[in-house]
Amino acid sequence: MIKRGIQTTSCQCKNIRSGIPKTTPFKNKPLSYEEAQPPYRIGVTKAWNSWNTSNLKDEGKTGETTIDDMFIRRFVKGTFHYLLASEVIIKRRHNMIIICGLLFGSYQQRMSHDPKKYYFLIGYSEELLSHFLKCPVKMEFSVVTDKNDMVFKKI
Amino acid sequence: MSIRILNNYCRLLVAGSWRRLATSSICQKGKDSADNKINKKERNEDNSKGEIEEELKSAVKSVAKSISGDEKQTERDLLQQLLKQTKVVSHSVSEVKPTTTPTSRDLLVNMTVKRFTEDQFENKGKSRIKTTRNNNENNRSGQQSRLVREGARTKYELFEGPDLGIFDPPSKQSAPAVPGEYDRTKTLRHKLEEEIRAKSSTPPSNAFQEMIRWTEDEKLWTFPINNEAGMKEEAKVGFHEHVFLDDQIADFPRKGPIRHFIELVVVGLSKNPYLSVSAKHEHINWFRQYFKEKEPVLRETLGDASKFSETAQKV
Amino acid sequence: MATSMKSIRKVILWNLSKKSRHFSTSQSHCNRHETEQLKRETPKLSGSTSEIVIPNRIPRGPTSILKALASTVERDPNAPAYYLVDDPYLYPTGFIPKKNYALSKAAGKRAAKHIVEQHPEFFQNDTSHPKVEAFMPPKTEYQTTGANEEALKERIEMRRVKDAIALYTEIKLEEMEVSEETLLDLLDLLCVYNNKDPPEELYGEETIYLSKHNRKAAKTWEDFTAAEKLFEDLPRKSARAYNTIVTGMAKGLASENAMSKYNEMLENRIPVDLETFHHLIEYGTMTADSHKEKWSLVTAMLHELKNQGLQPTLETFRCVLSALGSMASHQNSTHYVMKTLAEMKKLGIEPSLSCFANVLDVFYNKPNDRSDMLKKVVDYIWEKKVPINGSDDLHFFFLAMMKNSRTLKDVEIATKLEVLARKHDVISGPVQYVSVFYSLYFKLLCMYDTIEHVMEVYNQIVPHIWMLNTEEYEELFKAVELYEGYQYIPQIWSDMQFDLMKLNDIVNLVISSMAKVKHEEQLQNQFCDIAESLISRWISDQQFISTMRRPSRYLSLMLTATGMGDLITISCNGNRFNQAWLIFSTMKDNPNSFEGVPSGPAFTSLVELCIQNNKPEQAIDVVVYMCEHGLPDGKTSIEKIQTQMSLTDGQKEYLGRLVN
Repeated sequence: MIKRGIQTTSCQCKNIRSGIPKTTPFKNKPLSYEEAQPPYRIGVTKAWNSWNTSNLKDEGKTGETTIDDMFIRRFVKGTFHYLLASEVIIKRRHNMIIICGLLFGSYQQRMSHDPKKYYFLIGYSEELLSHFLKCPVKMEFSVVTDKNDMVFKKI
Repeated sequence: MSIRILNNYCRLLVAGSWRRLATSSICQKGKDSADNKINKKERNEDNSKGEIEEELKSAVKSVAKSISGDEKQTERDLLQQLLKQTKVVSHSVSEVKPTTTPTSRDLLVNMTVKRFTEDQFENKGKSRIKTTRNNNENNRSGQQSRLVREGARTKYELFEGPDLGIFDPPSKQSAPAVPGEYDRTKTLRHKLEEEIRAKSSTPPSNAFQEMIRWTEDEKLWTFPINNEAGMKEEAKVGFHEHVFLDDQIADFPRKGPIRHFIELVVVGLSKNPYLSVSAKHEHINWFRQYFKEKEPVLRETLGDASKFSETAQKV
Repeated sequence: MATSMKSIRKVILWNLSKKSRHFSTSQSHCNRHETEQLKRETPKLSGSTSEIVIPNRIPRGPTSILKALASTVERDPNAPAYYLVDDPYLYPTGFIPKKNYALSKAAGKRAAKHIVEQHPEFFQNDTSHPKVEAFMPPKTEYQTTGANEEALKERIEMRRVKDAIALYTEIKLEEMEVSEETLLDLLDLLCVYNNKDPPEELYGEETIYLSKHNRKAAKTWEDFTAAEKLFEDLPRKSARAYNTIVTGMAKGLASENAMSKYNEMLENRIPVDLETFHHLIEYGTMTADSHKEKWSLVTAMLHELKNQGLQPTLETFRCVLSALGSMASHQNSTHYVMKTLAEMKKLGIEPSLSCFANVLDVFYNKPNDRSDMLKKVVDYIWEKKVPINGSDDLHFFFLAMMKNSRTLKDVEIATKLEVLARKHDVISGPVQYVSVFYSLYFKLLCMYDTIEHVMEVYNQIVPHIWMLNTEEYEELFKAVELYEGYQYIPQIWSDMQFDLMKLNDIVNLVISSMAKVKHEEQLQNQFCDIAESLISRWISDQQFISTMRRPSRYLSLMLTATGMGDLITISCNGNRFNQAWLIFSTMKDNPNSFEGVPSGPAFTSLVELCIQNNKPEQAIDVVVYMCEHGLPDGKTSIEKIQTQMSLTDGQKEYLGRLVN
């Protein structure tokens, strides 16, 4: 975490390779839009995955917020098992936490899920996370019915 | 006192327990004077002659006897009161609409009259329409009122026509509410009712409504944003108590190293935003205690400069 | 998209509230500047007599800004309700899926709550500052035990009615002293919850689907309950105790007990609270012997209220009107209602919608009541902007719509009601009532309004606010046929696809509407497409059923013989021979799958279509089918084939045999 301030020197852009996925021999590895963007495009063609103010001047709790975000991501990944189609976006505003993401409408393209299940999971996660994190949690999901809709390019 | 009793009985009559009273008065005639009297009073007014019968007089006497105090005075009060009622009744009988607004007490008595006459009216079917008409069309025969109803049905206008004539317009009664025996809004009942009202709610219909709901449940930080939100303890102490701590060290030695030291402590404390006022006081107290304990040792080196003044104790 | 809109709104709100701090400093600066200017200018203005009226300070709470913002948002008819996820895959349209989804969400919350209650140890970590107590796991175990006052206080605090009663009896057995304050608190608790443990809290989603708006009818207060015993035990029967017990009894509809306690109060000259009067007027008079007696009780209580120096409020008159509403069959009730309203006017009290609901109850008590009061009331609300408190006032709208559609059948009133209800978000209340409200409204529109207006309303409310049921579809198609609004059928048809459960009930309605007349080419083509999709769906359904190993409840498309005939007509009107022939052959091959008898005209037009396309074999097949089923016009069709077609000898001979 870097303290955000006015940047006066040019960016050195060290270590820019690690965030870029490697191409495969037959160029058949599907990437979603978010995955296809290299790290230096963050803030240009791709947004952040965590939105909060903990790295602003005189704002504390950077570490706590990061750990909480990790916890939320793991929780959502485990609760919406095999259903998450994208990264989990966590927005913090006031003392609310808004968790966004894309979900698959079907499991391995064979059977489509009953929306009831999603509603149950959303209600469950909202309530349980609220009690874990002591602040109101809201989940805003969209559903992707076809897995191929997620593919931005293949490398 | 006696008038009060009468009125209370009138109220009882109104409230529907008159039947029980009336029968009991017949059974225990002469024994229970108050009940007896009610019966008589009604009969009297029912005749609406404006006279007080002998029987009633004796009943009043017996009431007056049963009530301690000036017997004659009570008797006179009672009779006067009864006379007044009968006058009001006969007066209102002669006119369809009473021009004077009767006092509450009169109205109550009127009501007892109404109830009684209605009962008799049903039994005997004699012409007592004059009396009954006074007490609104409640007592009219079915045929009459049906006619009225059908005629009136077409011409009803919202907020027009006669009113109940019970309350006065608010401008006259702008007097402050009479303070009750207890404050209802502070009782547990009030709190519980509020809780129940808050619980029975529909889901929010937009994000703002949801935030309102959360604020009411004390889940969301409140707007407008306040850096001191939730500091309930701190809200009770003023800013000056944090900054001006000199009064706390008034009893410290006037000069010398101890004074110098404690003044520096106070300056430090007054700039400290993290400690509560009580913690700051505690801090100073600890030093006071410490220096007092060490006073014998300090006296040797510092002399008077280690002496705590007894008069200027901390406020 | 809508999700992002929601978040944008929130971002704006966030920014607003953040900026408010900066604004406040700059504003005060401005103000100072302005006042200085004013001071300089005052000598010039001294001649004028204008007086500066300083407005009263409006107290603002933490929700004021949110309320102000919320008042700017109206229900968007194109989006599902807020409690549903705004995603085409996740939002339901029919009533049953909506209910299922809402209840699933609530069930999820309930499951999470259960975990929190079962394992409070996992939820102790609290980093929030300021503290948010609402998210701490609830205390379920008592801190104090044994029969003493502290323990009793704790049980009262935790709203455990049953435990508190048990503990109190224990305390009484041991003859311990309990302070009056605690005893009164216990009495409050018992009376509010009617001697029972508080019912489990419902989530908002559950409330609107499970709760019933029913009016209380049965007595729920039990005689000689703990509350009554406690009241008798009280060392000093204070005004608070009396008021509490009378309110509790009245609310539990034990009117006789309440009235006798009330009389005791009067006898002992104990001041009666305004709230107590309200409850007594509304519920305490329920069991009066006659309507006459009831009204006299109500007026007596009003007099007493005045005697005690209390000022009646809106709630007082609401209770009076409610009492009148329950004696609506009384001959003079309308008269009393008007008097009460006049009294309110005199006192300058504006009636609320629940007051008006009772007024309607009285005026439209009998099915043949034809008063114009409803119109007056609705006009009054429309013009006066009577405050509408969201779903609390659903009852009024529901009642008004019902009375309107039963008696007056006035479209204007209904439209005004609907506009008001939607504007003030009344429709987010209990779903059952909302759907009846809309059903009545829509049926009324179908009967008395033009199809254009009906469809305008339809577009606004379907599918997110409300979905049509079979009977409303019947009315809608009647209106479509009456006003020849056939161009709307394709749209209605596509909306129907949202709710497959109902499809079987209404599919025949659609088909018969479409088959009524021949339309211009484009529309007829659309109809033919619908017919094609229907028949192909039927065939694929049948195939699917035949592949199933054992019969299960698969919801397949059901068509009647009449419906099939209509499908043929539609195809013939659209000049689609192949499609018509497919339908006919399906019908011929599966004679037992279609209920009812097919209609004749469909087949004559099919024969004509065969003649046009010069398909003699098929034409003869149709004619044979007609003869077999004894349909009229068989002979004329045969004659037509004989005269208008070039037939082989065998075919001629066959037809000749058929005629004989």
